[in-house]
Amino acid sequence: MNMITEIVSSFFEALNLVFSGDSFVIDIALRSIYISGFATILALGFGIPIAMIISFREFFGKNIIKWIFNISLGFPTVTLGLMLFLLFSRSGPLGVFGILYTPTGIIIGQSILVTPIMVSFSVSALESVNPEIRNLAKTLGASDFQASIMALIEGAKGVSLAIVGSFNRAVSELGIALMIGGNIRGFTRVLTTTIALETRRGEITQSIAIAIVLLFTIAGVNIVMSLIKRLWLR
Amino acid sequence: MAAIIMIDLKNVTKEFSDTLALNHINLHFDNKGVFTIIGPSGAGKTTLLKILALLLKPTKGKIFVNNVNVDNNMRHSLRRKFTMVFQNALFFNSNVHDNISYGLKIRNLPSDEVEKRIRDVLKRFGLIELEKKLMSELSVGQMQRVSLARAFVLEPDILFLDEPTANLDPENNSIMEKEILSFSKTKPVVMSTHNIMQIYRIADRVAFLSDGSLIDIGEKGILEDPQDECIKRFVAGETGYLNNNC
Repeated sequence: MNMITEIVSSFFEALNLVFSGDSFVIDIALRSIYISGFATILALGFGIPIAMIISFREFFGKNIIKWIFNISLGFPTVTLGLMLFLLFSRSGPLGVFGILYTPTGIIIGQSILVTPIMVSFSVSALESVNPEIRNLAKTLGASDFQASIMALIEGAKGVSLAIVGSFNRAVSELGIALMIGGNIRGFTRVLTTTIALETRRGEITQSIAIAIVLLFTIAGVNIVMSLIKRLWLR
Repeated sequence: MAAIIMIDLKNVTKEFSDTLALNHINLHFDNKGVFTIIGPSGAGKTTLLKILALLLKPTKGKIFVNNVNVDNNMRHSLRRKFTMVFQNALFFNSNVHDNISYGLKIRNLPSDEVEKRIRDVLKRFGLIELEKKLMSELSVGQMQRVSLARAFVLEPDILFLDEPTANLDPENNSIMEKEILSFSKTKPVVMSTHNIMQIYRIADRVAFLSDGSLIDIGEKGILEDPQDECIKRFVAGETGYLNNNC
């Protein structure tokens, strides 16, 4: 059987694996969504306030901070994984917390990885909101904070892109999941680490199945966010 | 009836990077009626209105409200008594009802009070049928009526209007002027405009601004026999004047 035939055959077997509800595949997919979803929520928690400060305040060094977040968009996941490994390893400064090789470690790593996406995309979205919107809210009686929240709501469509982009980056990265998570079966094994492992073991069908699940996961999150945008963010 | 609010600007200067928008402005308001600020484009009318409405801070000089120097801590509470309507109908990306209710909701008024006030103002401005429409679906005239309704529903102590009737058709213009005059019978309205005829129709006092400086201030009669060349040209509507070449 030539290579192409093998890939096509594997593809259909993979589809069968996905749609038959294979517990191994479902378990890994749910863990990936949980870990990357949590990382995205964490990044949202500190990324949005940072983006609001950058967008709505004037301060010395603002452009430098924006530039740092922008260049961090392409930060290599393996490099970040290595840095966090050194921090979290038993002899590292944060080794005492026992975070290495745990889902918590991956969540922290992925949230750091996607924060520049959250901040840069959100700043771009918020800066495109008419600056007079904050003045409008203020003249209707809003405090500075309430006016900023109103501007955030006005820029919500752009911010939702930041959320989707952050989740996509988190769920599809490999370096941090591998180096901080350790790819422990049933504990820290996620979609990307499984694809890497199964490919190395020559289990192409399994690899393709997991890759399809990964693509479906990304597509699913995008569809959900699009529906939210359509229903609530007219 | 609440006492009429008194505002004083003392030597107010406003600079934007390398532009001098306002130059040592001294103004005093303590009366009901319509006070208009006129002058060519770029004269500083909008900046002056924003400073009066406490949306901008002066670079130099002081603002006094009821003889009290306005500091940062007072701005928010005072802004709840002031309301400004912007030149280009500015609105939140939602429907007419939500735009009008915003200011009432952040004041935590009871929902029945909010709805009662909204009903009243929608009726007054002929907006009942547009209540559930998105702002983006409205005409310019309808948008500007919503802007004024959104300000009136808050029952402010003073109203600041930045060219509220610019680009309006006669019908909408008439509705707006009627409501502005009605408000000004008990409270002050500070309004910028380019429209000389409108000044004659509704203004009580006039301030003429050019290049950020106050050229003249007085009853609207100052426009009938202006001594200043700038004002003469403005009133005559000379072409080229709008380039601010006083």
